[in-house]
Amino acid sequence: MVKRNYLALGILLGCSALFADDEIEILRKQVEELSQKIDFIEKQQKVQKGVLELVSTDTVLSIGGRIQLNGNYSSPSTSYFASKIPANSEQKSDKFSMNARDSRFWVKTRTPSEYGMIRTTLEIDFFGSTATNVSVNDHNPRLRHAYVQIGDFGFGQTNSAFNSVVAIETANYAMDDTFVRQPVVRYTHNRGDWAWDVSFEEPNAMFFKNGSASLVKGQSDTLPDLVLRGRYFDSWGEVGLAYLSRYIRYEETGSSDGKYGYGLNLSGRIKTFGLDGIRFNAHYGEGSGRYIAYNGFGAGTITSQGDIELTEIYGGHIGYRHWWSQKLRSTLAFSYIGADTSDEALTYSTNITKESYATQLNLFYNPLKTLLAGIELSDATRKFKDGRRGDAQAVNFIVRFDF
Amino acid sequence: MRVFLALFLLFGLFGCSFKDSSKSTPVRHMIKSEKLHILMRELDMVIYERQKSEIDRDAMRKRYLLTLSDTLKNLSGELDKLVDEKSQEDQAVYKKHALLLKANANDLEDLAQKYQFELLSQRLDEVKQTCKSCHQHFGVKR
Repeated sequence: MVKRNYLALGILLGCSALFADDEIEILRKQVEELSQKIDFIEKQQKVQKGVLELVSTDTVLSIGGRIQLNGNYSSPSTSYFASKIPANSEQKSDKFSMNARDSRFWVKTRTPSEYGMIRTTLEIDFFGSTATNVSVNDHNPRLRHAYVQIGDFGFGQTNSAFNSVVAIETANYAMDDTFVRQPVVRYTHNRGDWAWDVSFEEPNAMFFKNGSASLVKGQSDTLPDLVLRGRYFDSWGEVGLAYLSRYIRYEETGSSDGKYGYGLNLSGRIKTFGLDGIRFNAHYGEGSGRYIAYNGFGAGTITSQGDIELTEIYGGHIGYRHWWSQKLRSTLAFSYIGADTSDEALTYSTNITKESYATQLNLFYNPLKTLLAGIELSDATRKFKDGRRGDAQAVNFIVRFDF
Repeated sequence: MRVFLALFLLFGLFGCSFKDSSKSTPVRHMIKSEKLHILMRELDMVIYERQKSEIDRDAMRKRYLLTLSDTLKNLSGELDKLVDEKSQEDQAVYKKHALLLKANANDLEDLAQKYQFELLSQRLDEVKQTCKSCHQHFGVKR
């Protein structure tokens, strides 16, 4: 760029004896325009192959996503979640199924501003509604993320700050998965080795209640859930501690009650040898409900007096990922979740989980950076509060291409 | 609950990290080169991080790149210390590559601060080229 300007200046000086002042000015403008065009072309040529970029004056828009095929053989036929595995006495036969619903599509932008970089992301998958037409397998899109971050502030729908800071690399979820995606307003102070978040998030409490065999939604929330999180990053890995505080309220004609629930979530990853590493998560809470195990336990029980009795939930998981070669890796993981749901809930429903645990072992292969094939074996047990037990095994297959 | 406690005892026993133990400059250079390889591989793996939004993934990429940039700057500083027993010509080559590596590190830092990840592949190729050129000159196989 500097060389080009010197060259242009040289040409202009050389020509100054031959041209009038106005002609020199025209030439100068033409040289500037040409210089800008060359800069733009150079910038375009530097863009990474395989990335579609639409560059306006300030905003850069990127498009991407993935195509993923999931195959699952489960014995018995069940969803592989802590509170979904049926009791052994109620189990159905084995089942094989496939779907491409976990394919995703995202658009993201970035725009520099006086408040820092403004970044947006909009992402969908195809878990919207269950296919009813077996001939063509319709699957509706579902919103995953619609989030904007302006400097240190963010708002929209995205992952909760209470979630684990890293997840184990498995096809099935850990029994205690600490994961919620919801509307949030968040401040993030991210400097050096530390990051701090203050996040106000959508409140939603669910309860066991007389007259319903499954969890019912409270629909009486008056305050957003508050999550405070600290993260530390170092050469050995990263660790995050999140604290959840929520006001849980239930109201119906003639009675109402409110209680403060809380949760603590410690998670992280520790590098060991080469690319190998341990990933872990530990959780404890009272009334942390849907933040854990995909709402398998609820926030509490509505007693016969109309009071809320919060549910104590505790659990964790640990996984070790080992790289057999540059393209081949395995994760061995164990997860556990337990809860002390009110004894009164047993009079409302028999479908109450005491604890669940699972072991997963997989083999993932990357023939290309953006192509993944994997197989995973899972073994899980669910123990009911009334003493029953359910066991399940699954084999998962994954083929995925990121674009 | 017993299983839960056993799990974290196990974690406590196996939780360990890799530390640089040698003081020798060439060995430190090798260790940092290995660290660079690992960091670059981890960058490739960010797309497979589960339960992350694209904004989260870009934040991860930024952190990896800033670490990568710091590591390259350290490596560039250590190249100067490797020249003592070399000829003047070799010293010049070392210094040239040290400067190039520092420029590569600054480019990566700039890219990370501006979230220009579409340029990542090209910038990493430039780093690899600098390393390769220096290694070739001094007959290092890697």
